[in-house]
This record gives sequence, C-alpha cells and structure tokens, in this order.
Amino acid sequence: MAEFASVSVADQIGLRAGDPVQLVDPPGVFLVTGWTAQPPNSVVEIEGGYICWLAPDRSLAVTGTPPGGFVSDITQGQAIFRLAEAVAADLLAMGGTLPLTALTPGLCAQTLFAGQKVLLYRRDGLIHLHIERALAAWLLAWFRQAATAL
Amino acid sequence: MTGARLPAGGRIDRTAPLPFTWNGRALQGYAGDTLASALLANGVRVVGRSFKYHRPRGIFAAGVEEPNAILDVTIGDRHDPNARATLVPLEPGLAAKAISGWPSVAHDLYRGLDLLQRFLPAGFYYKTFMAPHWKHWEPGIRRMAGLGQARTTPDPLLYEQRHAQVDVLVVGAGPAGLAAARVASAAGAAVMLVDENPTPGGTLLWNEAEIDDQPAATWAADCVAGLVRAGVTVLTATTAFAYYDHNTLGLMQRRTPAAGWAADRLWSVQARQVVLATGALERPLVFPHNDRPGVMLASAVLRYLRQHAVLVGRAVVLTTNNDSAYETAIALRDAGATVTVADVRASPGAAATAARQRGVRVIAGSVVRDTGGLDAILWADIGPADASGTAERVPCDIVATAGGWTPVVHLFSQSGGRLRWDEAASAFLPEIGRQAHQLAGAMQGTAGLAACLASGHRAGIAACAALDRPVTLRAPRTPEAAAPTPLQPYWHVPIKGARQWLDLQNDVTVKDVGLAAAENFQSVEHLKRYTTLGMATDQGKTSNVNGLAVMAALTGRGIGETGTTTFRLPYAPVSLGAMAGMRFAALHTAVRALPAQAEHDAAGAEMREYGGWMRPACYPRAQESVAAAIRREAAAVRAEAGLFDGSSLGKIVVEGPDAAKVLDLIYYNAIATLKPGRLRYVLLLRESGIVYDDGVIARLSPERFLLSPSSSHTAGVLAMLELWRQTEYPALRVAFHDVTAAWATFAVCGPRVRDILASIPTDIDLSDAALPHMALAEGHVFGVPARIARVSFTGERSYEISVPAGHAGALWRHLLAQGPTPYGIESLSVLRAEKGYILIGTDTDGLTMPQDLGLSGPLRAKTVDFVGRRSLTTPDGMRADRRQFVGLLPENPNFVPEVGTHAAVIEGRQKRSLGWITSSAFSPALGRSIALGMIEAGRARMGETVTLYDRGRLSKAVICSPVFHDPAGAKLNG
Repeated sequence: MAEFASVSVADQIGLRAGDPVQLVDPPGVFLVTGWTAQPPNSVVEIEGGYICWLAPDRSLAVTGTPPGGFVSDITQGQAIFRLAEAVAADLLAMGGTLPLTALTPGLCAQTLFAGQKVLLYRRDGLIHLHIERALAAWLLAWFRQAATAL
Repeated sequence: MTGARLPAGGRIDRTAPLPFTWNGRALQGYAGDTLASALLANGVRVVGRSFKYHRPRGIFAAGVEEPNAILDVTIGDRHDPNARATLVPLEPGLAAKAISGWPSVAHDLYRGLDLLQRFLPAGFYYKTFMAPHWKHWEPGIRRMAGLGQARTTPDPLLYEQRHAQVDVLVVGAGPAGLAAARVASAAGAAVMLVDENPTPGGTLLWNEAEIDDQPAATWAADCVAGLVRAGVTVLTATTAFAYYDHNTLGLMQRRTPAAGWAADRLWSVQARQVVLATGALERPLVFPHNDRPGVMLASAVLRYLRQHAVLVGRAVVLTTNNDSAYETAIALRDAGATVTVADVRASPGAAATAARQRGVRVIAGSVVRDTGGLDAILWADIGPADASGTAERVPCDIVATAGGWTPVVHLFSQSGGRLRWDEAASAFLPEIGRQAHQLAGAMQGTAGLAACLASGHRAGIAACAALDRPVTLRAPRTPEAAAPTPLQPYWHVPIKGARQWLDLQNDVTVKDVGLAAAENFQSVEHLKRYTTLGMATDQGKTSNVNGLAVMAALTGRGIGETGTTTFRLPYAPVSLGAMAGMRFAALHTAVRALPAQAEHDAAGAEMREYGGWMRPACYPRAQESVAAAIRREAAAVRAEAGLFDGSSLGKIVVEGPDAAKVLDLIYYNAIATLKPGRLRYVLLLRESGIVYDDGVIARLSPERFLLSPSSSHTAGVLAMLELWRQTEYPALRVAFHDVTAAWATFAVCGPRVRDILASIPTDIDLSDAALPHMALAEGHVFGVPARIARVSFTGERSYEISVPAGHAGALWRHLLAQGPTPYGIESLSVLRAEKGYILIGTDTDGLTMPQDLGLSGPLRAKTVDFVGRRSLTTPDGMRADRRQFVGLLPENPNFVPEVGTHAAVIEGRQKRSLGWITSSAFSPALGRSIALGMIEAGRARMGETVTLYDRGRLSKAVICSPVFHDPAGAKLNG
C-alpha cells in the first residue's frame, strides 16, 4: 500500500544535506522496565543492537529484537540525531552542561539539551542524541542556528 | 585637561589607526585602545552627566569600576545602550554617544538641577513624589536621570551561550592568577584562565618590575603563550560576573563573533577548583568637589599612560594616603608632567623621598581640600589633612586620587564566603569560604608583586592538591621591594558644607549618608536603599568602603561592626541578550509538532500553541474569519462528520501484574473493575483533593492499561505516577511508559462516521456489539498496527484511530478524502461546551474537587483508598456553598459573555459574586449563546437568574444544566 507509506523523521522535519546533524534510522527503539540489572549510565551490547541505562530498572533498547521485561515500542516516537566529532563539542557546549569528554564509549547520559530531555552517548565515533519525535523539528532548527556560530 | 597621546610607548599599534565617532564627531584611536583611552587621547573631558544633579562627569577609572563613562555604543549591528567605555575595545566604525544630558552632554539644560541640590537630598523622591502616585512622576525622573535607550526594534543579532567543565578555573590573569594557572597547567589539570581585559597580565602590563629576569610584561606574555600551548583555555575580555552554587561561575565574554552573532557570549563554567585572583580596585580619597571631570584614580592615570601612551594631564595634583600613588607620580613626572603630591601621612617615607628626587613636589600631612573648574579641573586647594590652617591653590588639569585598595571580594561573597574587616589593610577581606576555591593575590589583601606571585603559586598548588594532583614547580621570582610605609586611613575631608562625593554613579555624597544616619537608616542595607549608595551597575566598587566608613564614624561604630552590604550578582552588567541566548523568536520555547503537521498546513489550518503543542485551532477557508470557521466546523460535526487530530493526547502504557492495583490506589475512579477492551473516564486528584487531570483509561489486557491524560498534563501525570510508585508502592510490580510521540490519533465523529470507517481496511470488528461506546480494540488498519477506541468529546458517535506516528499523514489524507470536515481545538471547545464536558484548567481551578463537577459517584462507590480521598471529606470539601459546575443561558441569545465574567446576585444594596463563567460560546446546534461556570451552590440554583458583570457591563443569565445538547446522550450511539 504505497499510499499508506510511513513518513520518516528525516522527511517529516525536512532534514537537508549540509545540516550540522544527521539522523539514525534504527531497527527499533524500545522502553524497557525490568531488564537485567545494568550499571548506571552504561550502554550494553545486546542481540541486534544495544541498550542504554536511563534510570534504576529503566532502559532504552535500540535493536530489532526487543529484550525481556516490560517493553513498549517507541520506534516511531523517537528521533536519533548523529553529530560528527568536529562539531559535537561546540554544539554540546552551546546546548547543555554535559561535556563531550564525559561521553566515553560505553557510557550514556540522560540530560537536558537546549532545555529538552535527551539521551546522549557516543557510538561508532559519533555522538548520538535521542529526542522525542515531536520535538525533532524544533531541535533541528536549534542546531541549524547554533551551527552558524561555529 | 589636555589629555594627549605621547609620541611613543604604550601597548597600542600605531600602524593601525581606527576611526570612530563621539557624539557624531569623527575621532581616531589605535588598535589596542579602549574607547576610554581613545577619548582621553582626543582630549574629550565630559562624557556624561551625573544621575541626580546633572553635573558634568569625566572618565574616572580604567576598568570595570568606571562609574561615569557609561555610553551608548554602536558597532555595525551591535548596539550596547549602556557600555562601559573602559571595557570597550576600540573598533573601526565604532560610534559612541553620551546617554545623558539634554540637548547634549556638553550643554545640558538640566544642569540647573544642581542649583536645587539643597532641596534634593537623599530619599527626596520617597518624600516628595507620593501624590498623586509615584507612577506619574517616574517616567519624567527616569528621562532626566539619563540611561541608555534600548533599541525599539528586535535585536537582529544572535547571542551564544556556552557551558564548560574544568578542573581549575582561575579568575584573573594578573600576577597571582598567572602564577596559579601555570601550576595547575603543569599538574596536567584542565584549566581555564579568564580575565576581563583584552590582554592578560593585569598590572604586569604596566608594571616596570622584572620576573624571572624578564620585564614583567614579557614574562606575562611568555607565561600566557606557554599556557595556551599546554592546552589551557584562556578567555580574555571576559568578566566572571557570578559565583553560583556547586562551584559554577557565570562569565561574560566579549569577542569578535561570527557574522550575525553578538560579541557577548555567556559562559556557565563548573570547576572542581576555583582560584579567585580577582585583584583589588583602587578607591579614591573623598574631598570637596571630587566629582569634576579630571578627577581620576591614580592607578587609572598610570594605566592610561603606560598601556595607551595617554598623558591625561600636564599639571597633576595627586592626593594619597599610601605609597602606591608614587609610582604614578614618578611615571607622570618622567613623561613630562608637573606633579604635586598631597600625602595625608605626616611622614610619607621612602617612596615619597624617591619621588622628590625625581622632581615631584610632595606636601606631607596634606590633602586636596577643594577643586575648581566647570567642565575641567583648573586648580586644587591643598591644605592640612585635618582641615586646619589655610590651603594652597595649585593650578592643575588633573587631580589623581589614591585612597588605598579594596580587594575584589564580590565573587567570594557571592559564593557564600564570609568577610571580615581588617584594620591593617583597611579593607574587607575573605574570612571563611564555603565552596571549593583558593584565594590568591590582592583579593585577599596581599600587597606587592613578589607576595602576589607567591600567593598565586601557593593557591595553584593547593588547588592541585585538592584534586589529588601533586605538582612540583618553581615559583616565579621577582626582586623583593622595600616594605611600604603603612597606609593611613582617611575617608573624607572633615569640612562641612561643600559636597564630597562617595558614589559617583549614583550621586551620593557624605551629606547624604549623614542624613541617612540622622533618620536612623543606619543599617548598611537601609543605607544602601535610602541613599542608593553602591546600588545598580556599580555595586559600590569604588564607593562601598568609603561610604561604610562615613556611616561608621557617624554612628560611633567600627567599620567591621557597621558591616558591608550584600555583594549581588552580576559583578558587572550582563546584556539581556546574552542571558536569553538562543531562547527567543522561534527557539524561545520548544513546541511539539504533530506528526501530520504538513497535512494541517496543506489544509490551511490556523495553528496555535496549546499545552506545548502546535495544533490546529480551526481550518478557515479563503476569506473566512476564525469565528466563522469555528461555527462552520462545529455545525458540520453535528450534521455530517468531522475529523480531528488528537495525536497530542497523552498515551502512557501501564503494565505489570500490579498495574490495576496501582491505578486503583492513585486514580479517583475504580480501575480494577474495568474489563479488558473497555474504557473509563477518570479523574486524577492531588492530595488536596483538587482535580489535577482527567482522561480515559483503557484496559488492553488484564495486566496492561493505556492512560490518555490531557495533552499538557502528560509529563505531569507520568511524574505523579512515578512519584507514588517509587515512594509509596515500591513493592508493586508495574511500569509506566510514555509512548505519546510514537502514535498518531485521529478522531472521526458525527452522524456519517460509519460511512467513513467503512473505507478503512481493518481487521478490527467495528460493530456496536464488538466495539460499543467506551470500548477499544487493537488490530490493524491498512496493514499497520492500530487501535480504535469508541470515545467521544463531542457528544457524537466517535472513533479514535491510532497508528504509528510515521503513518499519520497517510491516515489523515485517507480519512479527509472521505469527506469529513476537519475541525480544530477551538471548534472542539464549542462542541464539548454544548455537551457540558469539562476542560481541566479551563472549567476547573486550584480549588475544584470532583463533587463540584457533579462527579461524586466514585467517592461513594470506591472501597480502596486513593490519592486525595481524605481531603474530599474535610469540612471544606463538604461545604454546601462550594462552587459547582453548571450551565448559564444568557438572556440575550446573541450575547456571548466573556470567560471570567462574574455571576452576581443583589443582596441588600450590594452585588455579591456567586462565581464566574469558565467557558462560553455561540452554539451552532442551539443557535444561541451558552456558557459554563462555577457557581456557588450552583446545582441548587437551577432556574435562578443571575446578573452577569463584566468590567461594568451588566446582563442577565439563567442557571441551568451544563448539558445543552442531546442530554440523553442518544447521539453517542446514533
């Protein structure tokens, strides 16, 4: 049913080539409660992806295979921005208090960025930033404006 | 004053002349100048008018403490209406003008106010302008006072903010700060060094001493270069203006920005250790008519001479009570000026002797007792410091004043540190610190270059030790200077009559402090507010200690006993734009976008912000007003069918073996009895029994629920659920997941709704038997996962269809193609008002309980405890005269009373409000106006007529049931 196709976050928010951020298209994103005990702020590899610690007993899985526990699929409710190292330090410093140096591989952090709740971690040499899909267009506008200062 | 540039010297680039304007007059300075030094070099004397008396004022200082030279500065798009000329680096094209004086600062007609000074004592405005009201006087007084005019158009520039975390933040790049930074850097710490001047080095830039066998300025430059090479972040032209909790400091950086961005950049820096090397500010001696243009701080005179090669005067009188002034005296003499020093001390000592040997005239035991001149200094009277005997009139064009040094303890004080008065230093010094910081240099009373270097070195080592980074590094060496002759405290000339200024920025004199003391405003905080001493942007930088000393003497107390006022942040002004950062215009507030935003735009929606979401208010057609669109849409829903985007409504999954039990313990309504596949309208109360939110709960399976709070309360409801689970019911096994953004939800409703549903390919049984009103089914539409719920907020047969957010556009387009009328929030508000459905926060307020809404059934029926239950049965909760939710039919069917209109009854000869209208609309279904309201004992008043009172306009209305349309609810299944 081509006429009932899903619109990607990138298309919805009008992401363009040359934007200071890119978007990740993950196989799935799941809120998880009751998964195996996970060290605070850790990112753990699981089958088909990885899982990020959010809070005690609360995690976010980025994977095509949801893990155990109480699981809610929020794939379509998330936008995952990806920032290159070259601009990430400056942009992160402009938007929040978490320094790039704190984002060592294997660690993640929920924090406020540009006043909004986000999840940050480093993966594949890039900074990943999760935000609610409904706020993605606003945050993209923020990134575009902030990047003009660099 | 004949201020002029010397032919050589200074740290300016004479190959880079910079044109600028002053009050429209073309002038020239050099790269390396500040606006203040360039003005002085061009012989500009009067730069402003005093706040109250409109006396002419000239440049007084050379740094952040400048009280007079507050100017309007424009550089291209950049505009600062209140810039300190001493902190503005000269740039080509800079245009500066005075902010006070009418018609001009040079010829100010308001200067006549000075003749009325006898009638304008401290606090005169508190006593004089009481009637008829201060507000009538304030605009004129403000205009006369003269402050910079903010632009009336939006600032076109963007303002950047930055955050940083470092191991060691060193504030101040003078000798102590540099010494501390080099230690911290050598220890391998992440170091940030900030200084308010364009070039780091502080006094080393104009100090003729040597450090490590190098000229001080060379040593400073090499030191900074080494720090930069080692990775230290060095921020120049950056003022640390605030010291917050958690060792976080606010910095204001002025730098050359990218195109479109302002020069001001705000930093928030959190440091594990802070080294405060903020130095000290020279304070003036106070003497009669010490406010004339040409009276300057001695240290400023020296700085302009050595840093900018500006000899501010050819004939200088210098009045002092300490040795530091003699360096200025000798430098001036060496530059060709004639110099006379009036030293308060009877035996000035070696420094005075050295000055005499260089041709400086020193008059011991004396002080400047008066000055003469109008817009410039022409003479100074020098006489005995005890005001006895006669004074000698000395012709001069500058009076430099040196009254000792006031440590810059502002940041230390802001951090929670306690101060003590030190008699030997004649200054407030840090006593007990509260945060993780080290103190260095003159800010803790250390005097002399060698001592400051050593102090900074020790502070650096202490900071590193606190970070467990031991370091071994040799301290910088400088020849020990001879011990100075002690300062002799001297606060003002003991002469009555002539005005002696304490606070130049706020026009406060010794006499004003005397008046405050006489009227018993003797507490320093009262003194500050009564006289304005040390208020506003100055924060008492040059006036605080002198003012306190005067008050102490007047009240027979010591200065330490008198105390000091609170040092408030910011230490130096911060532009509003920098504080706002990128939070303005479209980025002011993050607003959520609906997944079908593009479709709403295509449909011509009037988009407005509701509860943090941009949502369609309605869909006006060409030439159609919003009001007409709302009526058309509401009517279409009743007659045909409507389509509404409800994607912003909250969606919280509640899952676990104890899910039903937890919800029962929290929600007002019984949840455990809800059968799978069914919905229930619910209320969530605060512990006070006040209705916090309403919504619908669906039971998807025995252990899985879907909550639908109102759009703006979703985060709050989730937080409340987690709070109760984590604090009261931690043993219960349940999870709350917010999935709002993952799903799009569209409501289709109206008499034709079943035709529309028939067009949707779905595996969900939509028959009334399988999906009755208040039921929900999961399955697929168009092959994608979906939920369809029978729930209505319009009173019509209604279906809410939810699909993954990415499919929102496709589903909206399909549904719209079936012919329903799209309707927005405003139209929905009319429809729900016709049915008497409440809107939380609109029809309710911070006092509304369920029984006020006619929803007391669950309280009677529910057996388990729930949040807020106890409060519902308090005497206040059970009062018979509580305001209750009712309908109101205006007597005039075409008159729609405004929300907030009071409903009153006449009792005796008085009107008494029974309550107010909470919602109102013109109802297309009824063809007349309707209203909802909260009315005292409203349900017992059905049929009564009340008077509607709206800002003097009166009308009548009849109290009635809030359900105006289809009271039997037949259309829900129609």
